[in-house]
Amino acid sequence: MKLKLLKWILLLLFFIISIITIFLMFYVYPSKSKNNVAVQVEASNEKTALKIPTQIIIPKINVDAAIESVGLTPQGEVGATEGPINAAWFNLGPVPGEIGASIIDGHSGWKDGTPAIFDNLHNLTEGDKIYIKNQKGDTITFIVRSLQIYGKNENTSSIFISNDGLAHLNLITCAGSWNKNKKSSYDRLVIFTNKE
Amino acid sequence: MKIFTKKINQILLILTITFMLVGASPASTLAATTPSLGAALNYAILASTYTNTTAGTTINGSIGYATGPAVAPLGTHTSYGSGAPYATAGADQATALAALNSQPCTFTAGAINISTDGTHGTVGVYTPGVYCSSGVMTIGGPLTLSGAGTYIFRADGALNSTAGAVITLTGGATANNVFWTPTSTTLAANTVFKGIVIDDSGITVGANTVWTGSALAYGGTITTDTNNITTTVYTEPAYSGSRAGTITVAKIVINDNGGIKKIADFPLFVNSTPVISGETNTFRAPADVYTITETTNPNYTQAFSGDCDAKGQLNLTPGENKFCIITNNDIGAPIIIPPVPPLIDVVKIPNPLSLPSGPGSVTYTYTLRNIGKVPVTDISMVGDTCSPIIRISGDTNNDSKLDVNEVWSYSCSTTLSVNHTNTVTTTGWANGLNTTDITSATVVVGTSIQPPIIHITKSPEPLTLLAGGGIVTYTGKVTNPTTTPLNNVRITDDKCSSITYISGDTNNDKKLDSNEVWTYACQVNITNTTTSTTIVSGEANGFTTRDIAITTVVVADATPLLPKTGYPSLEKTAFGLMALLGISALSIIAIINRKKRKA
Repeated sequence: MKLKLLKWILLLLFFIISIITIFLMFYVYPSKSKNNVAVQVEASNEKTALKIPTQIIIPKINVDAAIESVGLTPQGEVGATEGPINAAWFNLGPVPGEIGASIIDGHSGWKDGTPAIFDNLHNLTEGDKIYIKNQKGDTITFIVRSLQIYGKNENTSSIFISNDGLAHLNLITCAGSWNKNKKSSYDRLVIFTNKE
Repeated sequence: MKIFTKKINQILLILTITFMLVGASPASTLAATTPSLGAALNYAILASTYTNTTAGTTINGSIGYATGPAVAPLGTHTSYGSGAPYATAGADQATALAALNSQPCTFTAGAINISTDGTHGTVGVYTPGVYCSSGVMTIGGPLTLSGAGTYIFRADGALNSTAGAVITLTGGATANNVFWTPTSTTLAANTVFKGIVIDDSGITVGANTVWTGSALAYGGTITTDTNNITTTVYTEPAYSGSRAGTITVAKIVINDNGGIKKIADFPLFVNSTPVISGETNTFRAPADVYTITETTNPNYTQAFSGDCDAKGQLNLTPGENKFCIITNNDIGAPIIIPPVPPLIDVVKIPNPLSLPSGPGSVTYTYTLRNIGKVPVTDISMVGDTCSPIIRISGDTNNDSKLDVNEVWSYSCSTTLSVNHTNTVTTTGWANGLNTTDITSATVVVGTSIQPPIIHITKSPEPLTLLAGGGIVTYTGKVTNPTTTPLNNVRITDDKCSSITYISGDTNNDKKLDSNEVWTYACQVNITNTTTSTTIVSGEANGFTTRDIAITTVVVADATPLLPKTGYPSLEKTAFGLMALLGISALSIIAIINRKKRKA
């Protein structure tokens, strides 16, 4: 009798979990790639295809990874890659090497100790070099200028807006402790660089 | 002592004469002047209470009132009731009255019958001047106002007419330069009256009175309630030919911060005369400055461009066709993702361009293209003289949207008897923003000379920018849809000054030939949502032709949120957890079943 009751409880639990899973899949976390389609199409028309970045190399922290193209999520967040291996170029901003602030982000602190592309981004220091390759085959070099941690409510305009007429590349990854409610880290680490 | 006294008297006499001469001189040389009536100009009736209880009254001109008549009069009224510019007209009436009262009298009398008085000059005849009475002023019979200029009849009492009194204007006198400012007015039956009465105490118009002018009593009552009254009032004459120009006001509305207003939510005025966005209106020229205004909304900014200056003002000379663009941008919650604005282009070509044998039929062909990146809805075309404008083809998928790169063709035919410049304003919407293109083409009558046409297609790149803005490149392609080469091609833009010619003059003759496309480019750094207006002009056969291109680049005003780049992709975490729990549950069920079977 007890076993039968336990069985029914477990079946009910399975049913509830299935419902929650479906809800999460379709309403809370809809497909990222689908959400970014509109803005990516817009952006792709505006950029010279040959300048689109394809590879990021940071010798100091042993990063050599492919770059994906992302836009904005419907919530207005800069997109991120699905997995921990690649970096993501924000395709509504300038391509790396163009005047303005180009943005590349990547994951850090992946689950179960799986290495993520920007796990060691915090080890970069002023003067370190970052290399970006584009579809044309050119390599553009950037030099780290500064590192800054941004809290939840801080003004982030300096990450996206640059009015000095120079080309910049800003790298973003997570930092700080985990926010269970937001399902995200509290802070972001930003590496500011100048084109060499 | 006597000698001294005599000398003193002589000096006083000289001083008195001198004073009289000096003092009298200015008054005798001052000419009466006509004040501006402002928004009251087009009102035939302007009252607090307008009373009319009988059918048969005809009034041509605006009628303004707070309390209206039982029976609406016949005739044409641009404005009717208490809507704008009623209140403004009331204020302007007071301003005009003050201007009239400030002018010194050139003739003064007590209570006077101005039809029979002989002290001012010839009985029943008046020349321009300021005629004042300290009592009742009566028009007791025939009265002639002779000569061009301003007439002011100021009465510190009532103005009355006797039945059948007739005012005649001769020698260049016009009704719009005759002013009456009594304390109250009563015109008897069958009066033929001329001029503008400003009198807040009340105006009563008798039966069968014919009035050329205006009755302005913003604070009082005007009564036209007698049978068979025909009150023909002064209206702004239809200026044409060498005395006219046109003004087209076009509106751009940008709802990129949550606003929902449309073009019709911003009533437009030229010198307080209501106008419709996109419609071409004829105005007197030359004239003082014309001021374009609108009923503003505190949640929208306002900016002028085109032929208007920053204050919305422009000058108009005869034959000119001026364009004024008013852009309203909503003020609301900052946006991260800027909406893509629509962008259209219209080419209009009349056939024929000239009617050498005199009046005849002309067919205008309009080609509308979507040169932007989003479909455009709610397309409207407003032409000033040709109607209806019929769509011939284009909407191949019948979705009523001008899709990207889709081309719609329209046609309209009309008969022209004089030279005419036809203007059409095309408007469409997408993502809460409207796009407008204004095109003009001239057709001449009675000569074989071909007037030229010039056309510009302008495209900004990009159409949207993230917060902070950035560099925008405007590319303009200028073409000549006719066979007449264009000289002196000029191009200006109100938001991008460093326009550079790129290419196009293939034969290097400095003329824009019909088979050429001249390309211009201009780069500018913009930080806020910007509507820019480019005007291109060219000359040929004694005509100057112009075209206007208006584009909007939307700039977000909030920076993106930072990416979620931390712990594993959140959905994976959630899905993984769920999957793990699910598998665990199934496994436990399987184990229980197995144990149960063994047992």
